[in-house]
Amino acid sequence: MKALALLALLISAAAAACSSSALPCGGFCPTGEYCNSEENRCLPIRPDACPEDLGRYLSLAIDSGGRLWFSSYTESYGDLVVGVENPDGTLQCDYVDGRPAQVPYPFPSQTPPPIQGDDVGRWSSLALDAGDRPHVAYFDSTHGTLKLAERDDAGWHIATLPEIEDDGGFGRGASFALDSAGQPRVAYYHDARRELRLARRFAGGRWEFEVVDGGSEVWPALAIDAARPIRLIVDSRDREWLAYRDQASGALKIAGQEPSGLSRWELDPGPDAGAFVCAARDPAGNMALAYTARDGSLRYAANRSGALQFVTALSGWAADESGRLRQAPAGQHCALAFGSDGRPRIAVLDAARLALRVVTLDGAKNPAETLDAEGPVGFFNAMASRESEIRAGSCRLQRNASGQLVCQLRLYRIPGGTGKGGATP
Amino acid sequence: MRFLFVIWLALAACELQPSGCEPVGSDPQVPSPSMGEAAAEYFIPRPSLVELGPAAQRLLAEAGSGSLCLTLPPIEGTSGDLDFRVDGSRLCQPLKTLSVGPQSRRLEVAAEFDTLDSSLMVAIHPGDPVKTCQLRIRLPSTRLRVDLEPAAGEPRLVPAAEAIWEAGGAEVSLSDRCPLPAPGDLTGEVVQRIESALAEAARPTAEALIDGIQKAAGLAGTARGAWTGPASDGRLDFALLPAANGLTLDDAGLHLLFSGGFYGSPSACAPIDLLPWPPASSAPLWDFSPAGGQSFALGVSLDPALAAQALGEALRAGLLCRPAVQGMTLPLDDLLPSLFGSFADPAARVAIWPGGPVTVSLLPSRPESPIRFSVGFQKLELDVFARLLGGEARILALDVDVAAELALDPNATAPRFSLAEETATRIEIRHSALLSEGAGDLRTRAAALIQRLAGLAVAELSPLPWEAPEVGRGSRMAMEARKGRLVFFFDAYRP
Repeated sequence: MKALALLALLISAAAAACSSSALPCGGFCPTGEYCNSEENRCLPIRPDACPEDLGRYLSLAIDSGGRLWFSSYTESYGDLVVGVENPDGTLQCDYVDGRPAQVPYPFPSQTPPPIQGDDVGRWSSLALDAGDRPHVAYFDSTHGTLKLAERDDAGWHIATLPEIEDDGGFGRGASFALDSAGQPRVAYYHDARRELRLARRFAGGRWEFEVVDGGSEVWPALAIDAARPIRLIVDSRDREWLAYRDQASGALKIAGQEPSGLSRWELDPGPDAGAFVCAARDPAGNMALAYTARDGSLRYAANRSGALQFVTALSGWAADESGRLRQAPAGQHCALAFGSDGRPRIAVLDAARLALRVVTLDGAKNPAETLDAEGPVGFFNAMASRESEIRAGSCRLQRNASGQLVCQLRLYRIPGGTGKGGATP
Repeated sequence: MRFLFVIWLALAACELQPSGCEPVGSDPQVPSPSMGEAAAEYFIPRPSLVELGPAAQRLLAEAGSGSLCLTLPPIEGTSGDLDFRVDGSRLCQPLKTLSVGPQSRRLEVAAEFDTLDSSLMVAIHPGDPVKTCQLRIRLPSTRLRVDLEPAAGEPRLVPAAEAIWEAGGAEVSLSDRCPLPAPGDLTGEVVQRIESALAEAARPTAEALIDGIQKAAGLAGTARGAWTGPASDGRLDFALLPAANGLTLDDAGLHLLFSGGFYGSPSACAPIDLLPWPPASSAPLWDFSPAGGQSFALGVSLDPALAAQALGEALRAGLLCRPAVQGMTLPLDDLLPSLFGSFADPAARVAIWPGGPVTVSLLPSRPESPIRFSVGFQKLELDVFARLLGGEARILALDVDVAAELALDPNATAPRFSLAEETATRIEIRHSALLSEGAGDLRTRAAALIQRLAGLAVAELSPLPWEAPEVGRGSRMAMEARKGRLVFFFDAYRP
């Protein structure tokens, strides 16, 4: 009897030891959370708040209600983040892609946060369709693929673009636009083939791909820190126009659809032209563009009576406080948008003062103003305009508590815009 | 003649520019206040004047000139019942030797043109097919003698008297079996034409030889240049001209003085309050005996004030401005590791803006030791750009005063400057961003950055292009600093 009692006690103790209440986090964490074994509780893999680092590869769009949308890569997690600006100016973020699909249980306590998934989101490029639904093209650095995230009422749908060949990474430098039917168009570099390509999706989900330029061994792969060397615009007649840097020669080129097919033109022979390119649809529905030139200036080109007309939007040379001429690269991280007055605004990094400047091209003096002097700011600039608003966004660099350089997303309102044009990174 | 070593001093900044400074057309007006009376000086010692002959002969050969060339017109005539025709031709006796001998205040020039054997075709009519004969011509060697002396009030050599030609008679004959019944009619006329052509060719041939000798001696002309800097608004001009009464030929040798200077218009990237630099002003050296006593073919002395004027005017014209797009690349990952090599590329790009005057002086030299220049920049502005996030961002801006000593090794085969010493005497940090290094620490690191930059700047200077006149084209060379002037010695070319 005594022995039976002792056996029962042992079984009871063992059962107690194996019960769920004795396992870290109770042995289970819901989807989107992980078990922090030190704190013995489930914590979200991603916070509700926006990440500390936000604003890299920024892209902006304004919906029909005037709400500002943004997409960005965050280095905090290596994720694609899409968000909106709340009426009170606060930001609301959605970690769209990059969270780990499966988190080991229990999560190794010695592994420092954050819990990384795939590294995705560089060259994020955002557009809103007629229903104000966001579509984002971006690069998946982990797999070397181009992805498309699209949201409908059911949530986000993420897909990797099919590729004709399977011989190398593709998707760097992505630039995205929607045609009038809401179908995506994406321009991007194909690393293995060393080509600039254009992908079009048609109703039914069928994709078509077209080689725009490249295919030469001398085209180097796009550097992982390259900003935006390609800009894609769909004009008012649903024709695609690309402004891009020839990776081999350093020339600035455009490519566009003509009745005979895709044609290419060299706008600036370079070398060293178009390290930064920005473009937007002008009030007439044509592509206008700005780019950094070899001499350090920012050049602007727009359609005038069927021909491109060039102006120097910003000279690399400017007088300092004592009136002496000094030179610094102008036009880096440029973004372009039009106001209702038909005048283009270009947001750029002031490379000397590390401030954000906006130049308004008025056909005469082209005044440039400092939009934000609390630098270092002016990186990954993006702009969008809709009806009465021109909005701009920029990355302000700062060091966090652990000494890392992080982007702080700063958003701005620029007076003078009451038009219908839009800016598309 | 070119004073490339002087231009080199002025355009050291251009060597530092990947794209160089832009040459432009020189201004024909030379502002006399900018010109030093004895900016440079040439001297060929009397024993080396004989080198002018072979030196001039080399120059003439390179130019494809110097031969005694006779132009014979076509000759037509009748011999018996036959007509003949000889096409026009050019007969050249190559220059065999050219010698120059020093006389009292004169140069005796002797040239010998080699014997020429040639043949021309004589067409004879009527006949079917046309008959031809060979006309053989032999021109024996021809000699020229002329004495040269300095022209009055002009820096050139002119004949002291009429040139003397010694030419043997031409020998002309027709080939055997030539059917011309009276060949003497033709050969006689050819001899006559040759004598006439020789009389015509004598003067230009003598002038070509004299011109070659002047070029070999460095008397032939002026050196001019003009450049603009990266801002394209300023301009630097350079002129070096033989002085009107600067040519002397005496028992010591041949001596030539040059007036020269740098001048131009200011650039907006340069300090606003800089006045034009004074010209070179030291007295010519005259006595060129080298310290080592070695013989030489050509001595050159330069007023270092010319180098100072070159740098000062280059600075004023904006040639020393080096914008970011052409900035010098400098690895900084060890000096500023909080940014470079971690969040930015390891190398920075440094833009340079002279914000104050520059000084240059020749330091006293010791025998066998390198020639040393003292160079000082006041308020040199440096902009340090980091490559991050795909672009260039200015993360550091400094104002510094820099004093440096540059050494020119006289024993080097291809002499070039080296940085002997560098001191940043004042460092002011005007702008700093994204760097975690503290202020005091940053100042120390900035001093190291400046030292590294100075070393790189001097290392990027190419070796001095020694382009002396042909008489001093030899490979051996010596340099000295003497009586406040920089002296170079060149040897004759020995193939």
